[in-house]
Amino acid sequence: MNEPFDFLVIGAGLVGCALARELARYEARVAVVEQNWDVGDGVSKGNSSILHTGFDAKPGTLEARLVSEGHRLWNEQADELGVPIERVGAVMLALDEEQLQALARYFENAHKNGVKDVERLSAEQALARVPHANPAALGGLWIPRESITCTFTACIALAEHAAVNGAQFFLGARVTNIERIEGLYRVTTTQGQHYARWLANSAGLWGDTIAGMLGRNGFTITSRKGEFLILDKTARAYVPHILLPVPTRISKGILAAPTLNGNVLLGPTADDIEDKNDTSVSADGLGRARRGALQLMPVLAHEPVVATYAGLRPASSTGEYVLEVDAQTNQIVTAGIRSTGLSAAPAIALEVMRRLGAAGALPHLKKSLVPRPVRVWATGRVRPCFDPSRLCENPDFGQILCLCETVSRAEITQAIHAPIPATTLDGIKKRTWATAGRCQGFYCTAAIMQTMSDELGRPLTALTKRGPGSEVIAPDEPHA
Amino acid sequence: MSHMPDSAIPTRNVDVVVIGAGPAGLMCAAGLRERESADVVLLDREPQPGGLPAQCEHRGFGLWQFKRLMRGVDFAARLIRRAERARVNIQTNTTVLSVSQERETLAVSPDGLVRYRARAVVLATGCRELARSALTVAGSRPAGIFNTGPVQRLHTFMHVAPGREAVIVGSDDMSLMATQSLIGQGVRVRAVLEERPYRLGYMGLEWLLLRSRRIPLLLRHKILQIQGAGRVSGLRVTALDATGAPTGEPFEIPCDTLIFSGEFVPENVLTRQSGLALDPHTLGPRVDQNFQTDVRGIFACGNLIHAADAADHAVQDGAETAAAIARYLNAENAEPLLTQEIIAGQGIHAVVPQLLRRYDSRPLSAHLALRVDHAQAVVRVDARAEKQVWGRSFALVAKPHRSIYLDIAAAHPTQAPLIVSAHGRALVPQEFRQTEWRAPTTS
Ligand SMILES: Cc1cc2nc3c(=O)[nH]c(=O)nc-3n(C[C@H](O)[C@H](O)[C@H](O)COP(=O)(O)OP(=O)(O)OC[C@H]3O[C@@H](n4cnc5c(N)ncnc54)[C@H](O)[C@@H]3O)c2cc1C
Ligand SMILES: Cc1cc2nc3c(=O)[nH]c(=O)nc-3n(C[C@H](O)[C@H](O)[C@H](O)COP(=O)(O)OP(=O)(O)OC[C@H]3O[C@@H](n4cnc5c(N)ncnc54)[C@H](O)[C@@H]3O)c2cc1C
Repeated sequence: MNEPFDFLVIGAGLVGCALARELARYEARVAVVEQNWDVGDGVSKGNSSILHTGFDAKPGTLEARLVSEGHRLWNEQADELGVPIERVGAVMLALDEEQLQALARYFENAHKNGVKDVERLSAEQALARVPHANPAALGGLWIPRESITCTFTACIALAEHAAVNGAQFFLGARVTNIERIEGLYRVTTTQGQHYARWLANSAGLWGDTIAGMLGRNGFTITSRKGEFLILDKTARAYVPHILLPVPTRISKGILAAPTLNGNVLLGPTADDIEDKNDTSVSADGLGRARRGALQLMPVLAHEPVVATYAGLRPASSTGEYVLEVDAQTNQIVTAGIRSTGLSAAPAIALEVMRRLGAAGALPHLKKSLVPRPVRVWATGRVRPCFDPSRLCENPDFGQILCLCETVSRAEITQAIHAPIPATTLDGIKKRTWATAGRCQGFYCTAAIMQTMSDELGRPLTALTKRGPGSEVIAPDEPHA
Repeated sequence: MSHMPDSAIPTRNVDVVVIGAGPAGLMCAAGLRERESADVVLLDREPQPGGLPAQCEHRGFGLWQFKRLMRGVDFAARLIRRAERARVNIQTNTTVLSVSQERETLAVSPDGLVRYRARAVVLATGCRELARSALTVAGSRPAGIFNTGPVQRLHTFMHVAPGREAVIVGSDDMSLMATQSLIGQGVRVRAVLEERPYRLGYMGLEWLLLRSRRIPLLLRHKILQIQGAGRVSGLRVTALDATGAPTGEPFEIPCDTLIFSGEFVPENVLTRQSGLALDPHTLGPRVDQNFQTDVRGIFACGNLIHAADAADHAVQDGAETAAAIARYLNAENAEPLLTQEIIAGQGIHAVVPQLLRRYDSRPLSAHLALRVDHAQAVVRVDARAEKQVWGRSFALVAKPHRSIYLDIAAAHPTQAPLIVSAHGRALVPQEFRQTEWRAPTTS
C-alpha cells in the first residue's frame, strides 16, 4: 500500500487548488486528483474572469460573506502569487423604469453586504463614465472595486503554489470508486489507487457523483451553460469598465467587460442543459449573448469577433454553496460553487481551514513556505521581448512565435517547464496566450508544436489539444 | 510601448525598411537595390524568407511572372536569389513589433531589439485566414480543426498530415490547392463545402483534378455543428435555400479533420497599431497609385492591400512600389498638387488604390485592382471621371474574392472622383453543377 495522504482533494478547479494551497501550509501530505490533463480545465476554464465584490449577493448568505472575503484575499495575495488584477470598476446600467427601481434596491443591497463605496449615477454620469454606452440609459450604479483578472492564471498560480510546497498533483486521473478501509479512504482512479485520511470533494459539476460514491445524497448538481464571444482589441477602447445589466431572477445577465489581454468579452447566456460535458457553442446562444451585450453598448456591433467559448455553472439543488467539514467521516465538501467561485475560492479554502482547525484536524504549520516561482510574463503585462535586458539574458525572448500576442519562445518553454507544466496546446494557450489572438494560430501553431515536441521530447503525433484523445495530428499514419 | 529607456535599444539609420519578405517585400527590396543601390533592410519574422509561397509545395505559382507553373517553394527561391544578387540585407527571425508615423521601426530577434530610422517604410505583411471561431461556427472544441496555413506548414516543414479524413470549408483556389496537397499526403478528402451558390475559385484545372477524384463540392451547404469530444468525429451539415436559410434534412459527414479556408483578411497587426487609415472595403491600409499610405513615407503593397490575390500580383506590386519609392527618395518633401478619390461604383465592392495623388501635370497612368460585389459573368468594367472614360476592361467571369484589373490613363488633372463600375449578368448557380452528398459505401 502506498503511504496514505493526510488530505486528498478531488478536483483541480479554482476551489480544489485553493484548498490544496491552504493545506500545503501545514505539515501534511496533500494530494490533488484531477480527471483532466491540466488544472483548471473544468468549470474554472470558462468564466467571465471578474473579481466580484459581492455587492449583489443575497445578504447574510455564506456566498455573500465568502465572495467579499475572497475579493480582499485576492487583492492581498495577487502580487506574491503572480496573479494580475486590474481594478477597472463596473457600471450597472438601467435601461427602463423597472430596472431603474431595481438599481435602488441593488444600492441598498451593496450596503448590506458591506460594499459601501457604490455610487448611484444619473444617466449623464453613467454616460460620462462610459461614453459609448447605450444613450437610452436612464441611470446607473458605479461599483468601483469590481475588477478583472485571468481565471487561467488564477487557478494555475494557486496550483503551483501548492505544488512547490509539496502538494502532489495527479492529472488525467478520474476518480471511479471510493471505499472506506480501516479508517482510510481508498480512492481508485483511472491511473491507480491512493489512500487518504481526509477527502475533499471539490469536483465541480460532478460534486454529486463523488458524493454518491461516498453514500451522501444531499444534493444534485445541474449545469447551466453560459456562452461568450471575444471581440478584437480594437473594441477595448469603447469599454473602460465592466458594463453590467440589471440582473434578472435567473442570472446576473449578459455583460460586456474588458479583458486583461485587451479584448472585450460579451456574455454569458444562462441555459440549463443535461450534458455536463457539453461546452459547445450554438448560433442561437452566441446570438443572444451578442444581442444582450449590444443593448448595453450598440457600437460593439461593428467589432470583429476573434473567439467564442462556453462555460458551465455547477448549480446545486440547494440553490446555495454547499460547504461542509465533517470530522465524523473526515469529509470536506465544496459544491455548487456556481457563478462566483473565482472570487470566493481563497475564502472558501480559508473557511474550510477554520472549520478543520475547530475540529482539531489541522497539524502544525510549516516553518516557511516556498514562493511560487516568478513568471517572465503575466496576462496583461508588457511582454519580455520589449525589455532589452531580458534579451541579453536569453535570446529566446527575441524569438517571437506568436505575433498577434507577441509571445516569444522563452515564455513557451517556461510554461512547459513550470511546477505545473503545460503539456498540451491548450495548456500553452492558457499560460502564454499564444494562438489566442486574432489569427487564432494561423501562423504559429506549427512552430509551437515543434517547440513542444523539442522541449517535451515527444513526437509531433503525440501532441494533444487537451490530453489523450485530442491528438492534434490524427494518430495513425494516413493510408496511401 | 517599451518601458525601457530608449538609449538601451540600438538605433540604425537606413534609407528603406521593408517589412515582410514575401513576394511583395522581396521584389520591392530587390528593385530598390537594383535601381537606386539604396540602403535597404528587409525584415521577416520567419526563419526563412519567401513568405507564404515558401510554405507551399503545390504547383500553382508564377504563370504570369515566369511564364510557367511552379511550386511555391521554387517560386520563392527565384525571388530570394534575385534579392540576394541585389545584395539586399535580409534579416530573418526578426519580428517587427511596431512602426511609428515618424517611420521608426522597432524589431526584435534573438540578437535583441533594434530600432530602425528610415526615410521610407514598406509594409508587406501579407494576409491571413479568418479563424473558425471568428466565423462563429457552432459546436464543441475538439482537436483537428485547422486553417490552410498551419496545414501547409505542417506539410512543408514538418512532413506530417493533419489527419486521415478531411472536410474542407471554402471553395477558393487556395482551398482547392490545399486539398490537392492533402491528397498527396494520403488524406482522404470527404467533401468541400461552400455556402455560396457558386465556386469561389477561378482555376478550372484545379477543380477538374478534384472532380476526377470524385470529391464532392457541396455548394450552398454549411456546417450546423462540429461534433467530437477529443478529436473531430464528424460534421452536421445542411443545405441552404436561395435565401441562405437551412433547407431539407441535415446530414452528417464523418471526418477527423476540418479545414477552414478561403476567408482572407489583411495581416493588419502593424497597420492598426501604427494608426494608418484603413479602407473599410479591403480592410487593408488606404494607398494611392504609388502605394503610399496616408502617412508620408509609409508604403504598403502585396496581399496586405488586396488580400489573397495571386503571388504574381504581389511581385508586380513590389516592383511598382520600388519604382515609386525611388521617385519618392528623390523628392521626399514634394506636396501633391491634386488628390483624387477613387470610388467603388455599381457592381464594385473594393478598389485598390483608393486615391490618386498628382505631383505634376504630366499624364498619369495606374493599375487598379477591383473586387466585384457579387459574382458576375461577361463583365464590362470602366472608370470615369466627370463622364470621361479613363479606362475600360472586360472579364469573362468576376467573383468577389479575387481582383480583376483595370489600367487607367488620364490626361487632364481633375479633383472629381474617379468612379469605377462593373456591369455583367449575375452568375446563375445552374452554371455550376451542384454535387449531392452521398454517404460513402463502407468498404
Ligand atoms: C459562465 C460562467 C461565468 C462565470 N463568471 C464568474 C466570474 O466572473 N467571477 C467569478 O468569481 N466566478 C465566475 N464563475 C464561477 C466560477 O467559474 C466557478 O464558481 C468556479 O470555477 C468553480 O470552481 P470549482 O473548483 O468548484 O469547479 P471546477 O473548476 O469544475 O473544478 C472541479 C474539478 O473536478 C474535476 N472532477 C470532477 N469529477 C472528477 C472525478 N471523478 N475525478 C477527478 N476529477 C474530477 C473536474 O474535472 C474539475 O476540473 C462563472 C462561471 C460560469 C460558468
Ligand atoms: C494556402 C495558400 C495557397 C496559395 N496558393 C497560391 C497559388 O497556388 N498561386 C498563387 O499565385 N498564390 C497562391 N497563394 C497566395 C500567395 O501566397 C500570396 O499571393 C502571396 O504570398 C502574397 O505575397 P505577400 O508578399 O504580399 O505576402 P506573404 O507571402 O504573406 O508574405 C508576408 C510576409 O510578412 C511577414 N510578416 C508579417 N508580419 C510581420 C512582422 N510583424 N514582422 C516581420 N515579418 C512579418 C510574414 O512572415 C511573411 O513572410 C496561396 C496562399 C495560401 C494561403
